[in-house]
Amino acid sequence: MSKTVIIGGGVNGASIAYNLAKLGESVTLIERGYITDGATGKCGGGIRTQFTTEETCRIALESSKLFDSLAEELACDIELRKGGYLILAHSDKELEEFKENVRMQNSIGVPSRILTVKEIEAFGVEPYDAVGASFCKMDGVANPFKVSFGYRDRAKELGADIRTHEEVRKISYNGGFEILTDKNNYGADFVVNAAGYESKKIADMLGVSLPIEPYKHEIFATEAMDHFLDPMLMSFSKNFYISQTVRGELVGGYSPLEAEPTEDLTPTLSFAIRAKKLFEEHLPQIKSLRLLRQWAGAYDMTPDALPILGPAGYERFIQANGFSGHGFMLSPFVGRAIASMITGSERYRDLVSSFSFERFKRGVKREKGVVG
Amino acid sequence: MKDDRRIYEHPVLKFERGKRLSFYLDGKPMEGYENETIAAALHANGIKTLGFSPKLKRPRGFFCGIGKCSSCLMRVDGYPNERTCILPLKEGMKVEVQEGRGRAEIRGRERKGKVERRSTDFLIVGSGPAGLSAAAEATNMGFKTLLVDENPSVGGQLIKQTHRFFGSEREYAGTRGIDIPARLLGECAEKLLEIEKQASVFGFYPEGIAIEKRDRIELVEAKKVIVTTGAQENYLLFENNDLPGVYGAGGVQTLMNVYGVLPGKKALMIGSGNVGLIVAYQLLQAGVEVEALVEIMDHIGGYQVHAAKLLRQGVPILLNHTIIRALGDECVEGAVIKDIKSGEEQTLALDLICVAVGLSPSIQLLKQAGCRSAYIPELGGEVVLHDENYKTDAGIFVSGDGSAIEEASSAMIEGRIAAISAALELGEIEGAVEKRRELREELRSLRSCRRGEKILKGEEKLLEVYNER
Ligand SMILES: Cc1cc2nc3c(=O)[nH]c(=O)nc-3n(C[C@H](O)[C@H](O)[C@H](O)COP(=O)(O)OP(=O)(O)OC[C@H]3O[C@@H](n4cnc5c(N)ncnc54)[C@H](O)[C@@H]3O)c2cc1C
Ligand SMILES: Cc1cc2nc3c(=O)[nH]c(=O)nc-3n(C[C@H](O)[C@H](O)[C@H](O)COP(=O)(O)OP(=O)(O)OC[C@H]3O[C@@H](n4cnc5c(N)ncnc54)[C@H](O)[C@@H]3O)c2cc1C
Repeated sequence: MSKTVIIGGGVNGASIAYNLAKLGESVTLIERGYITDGATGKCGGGIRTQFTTEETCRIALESSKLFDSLAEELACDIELRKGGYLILAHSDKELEEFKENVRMQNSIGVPSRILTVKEIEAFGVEPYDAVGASFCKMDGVANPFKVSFGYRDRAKELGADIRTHEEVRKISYNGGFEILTDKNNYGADFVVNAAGYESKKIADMLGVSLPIEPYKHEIFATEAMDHFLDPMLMSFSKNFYISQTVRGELVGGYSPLEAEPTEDLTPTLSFAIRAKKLFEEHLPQIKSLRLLRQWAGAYDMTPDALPILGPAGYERFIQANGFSGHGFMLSPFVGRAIASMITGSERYRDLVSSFSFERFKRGVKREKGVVG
Repeated sequence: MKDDRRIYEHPVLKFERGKRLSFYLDGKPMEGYENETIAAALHANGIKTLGFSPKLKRPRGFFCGIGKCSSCLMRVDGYPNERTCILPLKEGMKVEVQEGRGRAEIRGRERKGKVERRSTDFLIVGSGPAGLSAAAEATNMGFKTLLVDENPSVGGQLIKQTHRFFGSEREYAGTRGIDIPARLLGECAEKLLEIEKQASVFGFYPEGIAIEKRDRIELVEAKKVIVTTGAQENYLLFENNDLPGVYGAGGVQTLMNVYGVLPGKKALMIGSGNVGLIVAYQLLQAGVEVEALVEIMDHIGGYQVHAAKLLRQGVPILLNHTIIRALGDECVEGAVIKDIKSGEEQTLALDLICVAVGLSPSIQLLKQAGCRSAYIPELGGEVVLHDENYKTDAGIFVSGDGSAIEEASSAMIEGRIAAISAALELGEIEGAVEKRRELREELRSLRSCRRGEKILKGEEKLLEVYNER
């Protein structure tokens, strides 16, 4: 029996398993499919610090710094490339908001700045209808598969028990937790719920109701080209992001602003066609590129689009979910914070306090910069 | 001196080349013919290196000849990553050897902005023997049929098979492979058949079935879909296996039998299945010397008659032998083969290594559509599951090499069974059930030989997994 059972083998479950094992804790991770089978394997790999709320900026900053040394820590190439995030403002009003965000971001140490139209062009990006942008050189992209597999491999070496192709079916609490899967029975002191958008179903097993809903997001990758695009290009008002990976592919996504929750993740042709059109306005090179693959995944959305980190319903039923479009970039931080919580350390208490389950009782307002 | 690799005399084939065209390779003028692919024209001019790999800068050349392997990517008229093995040559084309991944440029491919829609009763993907036979049945039962193939010509693998076929008469035994497509087309009710060449079916979407053409995308609404996408060649692991001059047997056939271009002067064939045996013989017919055929097993895999033809020509068939290394810097200059029993190695000087180590069903499209699959070695590897009417659990029908690696004769029968079964779901058809019963009987008798046993065992396994759920 392990002290902690983690449900879900996405990048967050894997990061938590690694960080617990590193602290000498006994831990079992249970994943229904393979590691990265959920949103992690569908994601765009973006890492950014430019958020609109201070609390999110703080944890994103912490996480972004951890990414800088992650390849060394995990002893694997994570294909990290920090070319910055360039977020387009399409109206003067939006640009004013960006200026305010940048002031707040700078005040806590995020080195973001405002770009003029000319400066946007200097990045090889067509401004089209943009009137300015905000940019932070600390931001970038990495490979979600390599990061997750790195966490998994090191966790295993440190003694973590990683179980794939095994589904959690039932959980009960009687002083300790009992977890029933399609193959085994486990006991645990702590259960970590890192099941992505299905975290709601896991919590339901214990009678805890999480305010999480799945939203479909589509994404594509083009053929690999010589490097030409440094920053991750993003737009809140057009709801898109696109970057070039170290392997040369352009990976981009766009989602209609008004969508309903759904678990139907079927890719559509209309997405591919509309997304390509949209990107052509700012990156005319896209016109001559072939889309090689497209797929869809789900964001696990909470009412304020911010994660739930910490206990819910039971003192030792720990949530690491509700990441919307940012669970990959936050994962190095999440692993540390949750592991420290389980081992009774105070280190990250203040940073995670804004992300408690309790906040929904008080009422919340929505983080604006959701996409990518 | 000009390095002309074209075949002018052939015992079976007459090459009617189209108009003479001029084009440029890295600015240097070259000559080719209309109806030839870029890769074939370059090969005819003695050009084997088509690009260099992005990381290690290894030379890259031709391999599959049917647009599946991405080894032949070049820059054409400014566009990188063009599959030159299936792209037809045009007057004045500017072809460039591609180093690495290629530059993205600010210029548009000419595509119509709008996606066009069309509808049909039957959509058949792939125009090999299975697809053509399905089209013949569907149109004769009165259904409007759209037949789509990504290659420039109709016929799938048949267009390069110069030998006379085995099997039953109804499946055109005794006829040369190259002559079968026209016979099957002749069987179709012409008015109901529409054919789209150089068009790839790339996805089953909620909006419809998507087809990519050179200049646009089309969405098809079809009552019934039959996928007969055939197979792709297996690869073999050995040192320097990526050198230009190491070609798939299918690719070699395409070069010499379709385009009349010599794939090399001296060859080593790897694999003694029917494909290896037949292609080795075809190499001889085209005027290529075949130094040896190596086979790692202790017996010949294909039919004895095919092997006998080779032995009569003095080609050594070396059993318990394999290739361990290709030699050469820019392209193949030799091969090291090894006797796996004695460990003895031998170096051969040659410029062509032909890999004929089996085929795997092309099931990507069906997987995208959501079909379940299973690994069944008897059927050629990973295959999609289907019932006895060749219906997959996505409701799409499958047949031919795309469902299991077998042969053209069985592909034809399966294509017919699939078409009849699909049609019966749309309503009663006089005589159809009876015809399907007869076809099943024919398939059984075709499989009553030694090779058939393997397929029957595989089919049994497949139905078992299919019914598991
Ligand atoms: C199209 C797209 C683009 C994105 N782009 C970015 C980006 O650029 N940057 C960024 O930071 N984030 C991005 N995201 C978000 C990011 O992918 C997720 O927030 C993140 O991967 C979540 O990781 P996770 O480990 O929390 O959950 P997941 O990766 O979803 O893992 C949850 C796992 O739980 C398993 N599971 C569920 N139920 C059970 C059960 N009963 N038993 C056992 N296992 C179970 C699932 O199989 C799954 O593998 C994107 C998401 C999408 C969909
Ligand atoms: C050297 C050799 C000798 C042979 N000799 C014999 C023999 O003597 N007797 C015999 O019975 N059999 C023989 N065969 C086997 C026979 O050729 C094959 O079994 C048969 O061609 C399979 O038919 P098919 O219709 O399933 O596929 P194929 O003939 O492979 O046709 C598939 C077609 O689908 C197209 N396609 C694939 N994907 C797409 C897509 N996404 N969109 C559009 N089009 C697509 C391809 O371009 C191709 O044209 C031989 C094979 C070889 C290689």
